[in-house]
Amino acid sequence: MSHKVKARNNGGSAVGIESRGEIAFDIVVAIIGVLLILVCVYPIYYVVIASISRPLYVENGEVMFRPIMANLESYKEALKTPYLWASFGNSLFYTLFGVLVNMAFSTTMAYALSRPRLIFRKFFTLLAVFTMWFSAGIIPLYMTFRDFGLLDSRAAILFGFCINTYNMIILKSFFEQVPSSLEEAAFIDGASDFRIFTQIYLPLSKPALATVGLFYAVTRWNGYFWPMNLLTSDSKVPLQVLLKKLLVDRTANEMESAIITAESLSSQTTVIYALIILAIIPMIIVYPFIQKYFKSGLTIGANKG
Amino acid sequence: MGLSRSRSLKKRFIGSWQLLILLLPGLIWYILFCYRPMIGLRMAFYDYNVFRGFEGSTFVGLDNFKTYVMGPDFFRTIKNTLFIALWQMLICFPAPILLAIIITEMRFNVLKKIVQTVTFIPYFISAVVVCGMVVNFLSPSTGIINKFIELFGGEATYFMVYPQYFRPVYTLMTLWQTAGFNAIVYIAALMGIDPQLYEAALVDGAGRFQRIWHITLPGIIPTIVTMFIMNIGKMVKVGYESILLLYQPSTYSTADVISTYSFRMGIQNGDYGIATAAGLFEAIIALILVVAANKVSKRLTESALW
Amino acid sequence: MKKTAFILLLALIALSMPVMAGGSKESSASAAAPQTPTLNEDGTFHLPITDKKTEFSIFLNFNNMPFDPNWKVWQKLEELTNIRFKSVISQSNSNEDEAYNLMLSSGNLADVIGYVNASDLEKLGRDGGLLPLNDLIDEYAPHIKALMDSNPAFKQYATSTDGNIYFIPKNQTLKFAEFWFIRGDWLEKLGLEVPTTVDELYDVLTAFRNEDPNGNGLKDEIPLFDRAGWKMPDEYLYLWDTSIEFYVRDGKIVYEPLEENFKTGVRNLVKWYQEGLIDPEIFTRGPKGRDTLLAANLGGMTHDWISAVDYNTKLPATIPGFKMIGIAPPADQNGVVKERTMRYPGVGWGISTQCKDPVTVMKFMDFLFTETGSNLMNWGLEGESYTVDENGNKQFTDAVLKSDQTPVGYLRSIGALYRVGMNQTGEYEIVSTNDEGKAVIDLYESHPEWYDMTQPPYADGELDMKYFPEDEIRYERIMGQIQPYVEEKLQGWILGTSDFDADYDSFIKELHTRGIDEAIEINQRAYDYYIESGLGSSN
Repeated sequence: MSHKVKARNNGGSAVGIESRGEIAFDIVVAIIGVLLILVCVYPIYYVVIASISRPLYVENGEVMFRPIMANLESYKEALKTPYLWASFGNSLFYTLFGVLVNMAFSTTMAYALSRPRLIFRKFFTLLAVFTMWFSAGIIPLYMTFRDFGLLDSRAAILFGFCINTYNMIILKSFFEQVPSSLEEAAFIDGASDFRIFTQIYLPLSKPALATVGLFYAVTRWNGYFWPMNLLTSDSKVPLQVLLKKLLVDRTANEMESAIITAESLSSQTTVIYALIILAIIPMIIVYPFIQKYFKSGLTIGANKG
Repeated sequence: MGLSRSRSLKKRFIGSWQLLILLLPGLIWYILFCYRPMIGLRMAFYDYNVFRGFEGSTFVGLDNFKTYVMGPDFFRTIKNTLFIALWQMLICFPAPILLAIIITEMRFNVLKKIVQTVTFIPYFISAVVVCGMVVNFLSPSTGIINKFIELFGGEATYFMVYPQYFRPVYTLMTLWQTAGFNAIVYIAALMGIDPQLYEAALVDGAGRFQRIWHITLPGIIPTIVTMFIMNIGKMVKVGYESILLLYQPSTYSTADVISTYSFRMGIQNGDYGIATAAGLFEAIIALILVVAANKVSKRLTESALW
Repeated sequence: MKKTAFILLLALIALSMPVMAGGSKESSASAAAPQTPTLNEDGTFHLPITDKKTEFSIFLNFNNMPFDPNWKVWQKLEELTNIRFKSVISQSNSNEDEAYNLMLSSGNLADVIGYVNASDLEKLGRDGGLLPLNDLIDEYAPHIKALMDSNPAFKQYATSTDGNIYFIPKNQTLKFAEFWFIRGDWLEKLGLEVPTTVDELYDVLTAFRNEDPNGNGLKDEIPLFDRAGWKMPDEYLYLWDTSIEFYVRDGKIVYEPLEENFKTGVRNLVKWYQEGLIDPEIFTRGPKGRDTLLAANLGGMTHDWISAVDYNTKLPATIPGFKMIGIAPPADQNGVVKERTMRYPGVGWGISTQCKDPVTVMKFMDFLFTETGSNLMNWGLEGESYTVDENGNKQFTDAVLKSDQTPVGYLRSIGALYRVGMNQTGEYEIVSTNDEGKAVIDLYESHPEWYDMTQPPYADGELDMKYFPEDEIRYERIMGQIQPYVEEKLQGWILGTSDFDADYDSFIKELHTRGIDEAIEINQRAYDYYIESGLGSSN
């Protein structure tokens, strides 16, 4: 099996029967790939070169393909942002433990909902799915946090957002794809649902867990709205809240900020660009490790019938 | 009849009590953090005052809905919401599928890895920054897009202020930001297709396109259906943040959607009743589309989300 | 099965209804402790205000700068008064509106609350969230009382239509706000006179456009530009004595788009834009536009704050001879010279009904109006941000003048000039500007007739009057439908996507359909009240 998988990873044509059409196809795909890279990389490349260029040239649109009068002043300024390291640590904390909480709640519920035996299964599924289209809005949710005494607590961030229905459905669909013969066999051996879940289904679901885990991690890492409004202590705030503040500041405070001339080394804009780069780095480091789990496959599908 | 039904219920309950325990933490969470706050939706029926709460606010029945529906912005916001959803459906939804297929079909491993990683990164750049870049890149005097247009003999266009460009600009921006990220699910699904199917096809002499058409696509149809039903609601609930950053008074005619209206009424004017009423309208549209999509998909592909 | 599911779902929602606890309100208990008087017997302020360190919670987020007790000015205030404030939002908060609404919905109000606009604070006051301060001021705030007695506009701005004072405003001593600035060196180079009328201005801008004043051989000059692109078309309409706002003429509120001048204004604006006299990218230029257009030697004229002359010290190194000079507002088509931008008292802070010791807070608020308090709030710390010479004249130090921020920026970073009840003297603007700046200030100061004092307060170009509660809701709803409509139409005309003359009749009709007449009536009521409350025209 494994060599077949490998062959498939090498591009879909297994053995060496290469027609001209096949080669042309590969070349076209490769060209599309390169174009895609350009389209996606350019804006990011732009952020990088803008973050090291002199701000006046960034503002007047001269920075396009290469940095102008490169300097690292913006990074130095970015690193001086108050609470930067604390918030970086907080972001790591919320992402790491948040994903654990997410996975604990989502996998159990998804597994239960994936079993046709479950009583009121349709009702419970609908209950979850319904929230994707109907949500209460900001103020009622805030009042809920208040009533539970969760304002300004890390617990609010970790447990207030246990399940993303979308991700839970992905997991549920995956569990549904696992051949039921495995479950039946385990039942005959007298295994409980808990054991089947933890010892058969979870180990089998690594790709799904990796994908959904990644989704959760991204959401956790990028989230700013609720952390900003629920947390009032500066020591608990994550990185994105800081970043957001700088971004919004840019529009609000620019009326009174310093004048930019050709001599200025950094401006709020370039500092923001520097911070964006700093904030993306952890995700770029983590992503390739998760990518390898995709190889073994994941199918989310819908209920048959 | 009733007796046997209740007996079978009891039996099913006993048969699934362990599952119910697994379900419980998630269920409790849904009730506490999704359904309990939902009671706040009754704001739509009050002249709601944040400080006084429901007890201190006047019940106004359907007045808020009336104000929205009879108001001059009603048809325009509905129309724009649906149009933007349509653009998203036609362009932003299929793109990740295509991207996933391209990535899996790619033969050069290094290129493949780079494409996959690079297309995923835009998702990390916050909407405020992306919108700022869009405005920069589209500037008629200094923007790179217009530089290119001029290079090829075209005329620089002030894209941000003409209503006919708003939907394409917004759609392309969303596409750029989300395609790589959304492709992940499809990439993972494509990897799950049984390689034996491809080998059999190869033996039958099927070309690449034929294999994609007859094996790859059918293999991920259930994924596509699920994603479509789940996303259709999201598409209708156009995020107001990016639109607020991109629109101009002159582009209201194509850009003003229910959520921006609701934002103006709620956060800017403090009129929570109307804002919630408009929001409910949006949710109902989403719900109708979702139920319809689910029905259609059940009939056509025999699979559905519920 | 599906039906059962839905019924169960509905039942669940219905069941959880009663669980929803309405915000239980705690009534506040005022402290009954005997109060020391605010002033000593010799009339000096009794300091410290409290014997023990006292802390109050505060909600303030001015321009996304949440209140920070570590600011040097506020540390000094704490040292003097023994009173300290603790912010109820984090330093990273960047959305004042949401934070404010969420605080209200939580039912836990901070002891002291400041917010971006007066009407919301007054609404909160009427709903029982803020204390009426009238009696407290009479008893415990002699300095504020004195200012209110001597400055009716200040008192009027503080007083709600129910007669209560819910917040202490930030007073503005300076009257002038924005000025017209033009490239003096360009005028000289092209041999042009300073334009004194709107017609002459048209000629000058056309010359800027066509005669290559920057001398690079390209027709790239942008004669008229602004960094506040989002509100600009409106401010340029001032040149023809019109706007897209309400205005008072002969004691009557008018909505200017309905007036004759509006036609003249828009027609000219459309023409100016088409001829390239106005920055073609004005709508998306953004706050950095002034920097880039001036530094690139492209911009010719703008309507802006005093900081526009700061470029005279920064740019001549790269652009020889660069000089922005302030000029009088060009006379409109009827020969009248007017400057519509002015400063009015602004919003400040109030005391919530949940504050345990309002008297002490009131005394603190009063302290900011004493000379010591006022110096701290306007000048910062003596010896650090300013010095006093032997004649008692104050001067900012280089820490303020030569920091890498603007003087205002620096002063705000140490907690001065914050959005609280205080007397903002504006000296920083006069003291820290250069010769051209001083000249333009003198010019505008010496022409009080340019400023129409019969106009009620405006904030950001919009009418900022006191409405009766029931009027206020109506008004906001109507204007919520009119304002975006007018902005949309105006921008469309300027850009040429629709034709002004062809649209005009239907535009006016639509304004009436959307309820402009009622809005005018409401404004008239508010204006009559403004006059009746006795103080409108006197100043």
